[in-house]
Amino acid sequence: MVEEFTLESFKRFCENNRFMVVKCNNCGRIFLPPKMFCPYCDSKDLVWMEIGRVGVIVSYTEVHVPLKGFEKFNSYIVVLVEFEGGIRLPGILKNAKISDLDIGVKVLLEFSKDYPSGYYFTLQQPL
Amino acid sequence: MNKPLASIISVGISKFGKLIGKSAREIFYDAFRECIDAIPKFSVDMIKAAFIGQMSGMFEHQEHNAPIYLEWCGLNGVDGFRVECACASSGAALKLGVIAIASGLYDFVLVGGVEKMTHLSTSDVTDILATASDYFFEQINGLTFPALYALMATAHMKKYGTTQEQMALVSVKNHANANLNPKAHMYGVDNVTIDKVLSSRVIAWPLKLYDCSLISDGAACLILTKPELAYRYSDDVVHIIGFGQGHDSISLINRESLTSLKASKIAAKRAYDMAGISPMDVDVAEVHDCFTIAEIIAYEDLGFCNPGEGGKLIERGETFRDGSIPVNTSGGLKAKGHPVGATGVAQACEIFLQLTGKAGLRQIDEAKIGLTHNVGGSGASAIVHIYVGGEFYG
Repeated sequence: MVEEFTLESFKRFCENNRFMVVKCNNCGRIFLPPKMFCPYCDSKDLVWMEIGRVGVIVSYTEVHVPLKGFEKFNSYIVVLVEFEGGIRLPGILKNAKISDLDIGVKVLLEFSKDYPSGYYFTLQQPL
Repeated sequence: MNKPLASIISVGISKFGKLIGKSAREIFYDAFRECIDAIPKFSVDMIKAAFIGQMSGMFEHQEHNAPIYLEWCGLNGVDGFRVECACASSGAALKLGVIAIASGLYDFVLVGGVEKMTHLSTSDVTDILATASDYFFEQINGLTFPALYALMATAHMKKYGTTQEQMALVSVKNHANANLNPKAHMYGVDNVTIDKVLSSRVIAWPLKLYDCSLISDGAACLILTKPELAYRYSDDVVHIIGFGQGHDSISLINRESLTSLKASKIAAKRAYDMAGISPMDVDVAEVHDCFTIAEIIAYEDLGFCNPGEGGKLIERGETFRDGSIPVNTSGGLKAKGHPVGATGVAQACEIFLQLTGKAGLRQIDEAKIGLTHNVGGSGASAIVHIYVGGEFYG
């Protein structure tokens, strides 16, 4: 089945444990959020593509006054992560201490229905 | 310097703070009454249009607000528009008011802004404010507004070496200014030191309570007219000589930079070009300090210093009242208060007071050219206006 280039499709892919982004067949770039046209070259020749789940932290914070619906997480770390092709996503980082974090640290995207976005991050241990 | 687009002949500001027992429409009337009472030669039936900024009807479970504010000001015959652009709502309303005057179709326009917030819990207010960020990637990952600006702060600290002490200085300065502004939410309430900021509780690391602007009730308004009509009604006139507006992606995930707001840079460039001035010509500015890091980034985006040097600019004292470019003499969003829909026009009101020599104990000497910078959300919208005091024009 051909998935439309919508936010709903992205979420459905997450529910099926797949990290999917939109690829432009004209300029070759990949992007999120999904749109019906390429934000770089305006082509409508698009396709969904799966990318790697390891990314690097480009910024981070620890939220002590939670947003409504996130009270159960107590204080929680949110990281902004960059993946291949410049794709970025924010998300909650599980099992980490703010004092251990730095920009450039590698994290892994994992899927779970326990998180409203359908995903979270864990630290990717150095080899 | 280019010619004026429209002229402000009067301003009015309600008390900012926790206004128990008053609804938004009644607070708006307080600002309107002060504005009109200051110009006895002017008659309210000369007002033909009103542009009023308000972020959200969710605070009072009340939409369709333009006719309500008109009704509560006795302006039922006026063309009314409620303008929404998140925290830049009344900056956008001001721009539309200027356009209405410059179009030649209206001679007198009321521009205002209002928000009533303090009757709700902090959790409810945070939730409503968060609706001005991206739902699908940001709200759904637990990002509050303090958290979004914290992401910018972390990146700024890493890239440029900006410190929490430099951010704390923004809070110290703006609280000191608010103590000279009787309308400010924090007037006479607090003597804020660097230690007090640094030891306040963490909201979203590295931002602490005293890095964050206030949840306030308040309203502000002003009367705009054509430059050639202004002096018939007031001896105190401030001309608007430029405006600029910029937009960027709603979510931080699609920003070119985390350490700068592209929307602010676009808005500032357009405003400077239209006014025919440079950043160095600005004598006094009100900038969007929703968080202390936001003021530091604003210094850089508005061209008051180079990228990355915002922290050092305040460390050298340049943005204090006795510095080379005083910023947020009103106390800013941090300490004057941030009733979000009122903020853009409240900034314009402070510049009017500074450029007409009516800013009282916080008056800046020789203030001729002023600037306001109003940001919506985490930077998806920004609006800049540039002003010149009437006596200095030409």
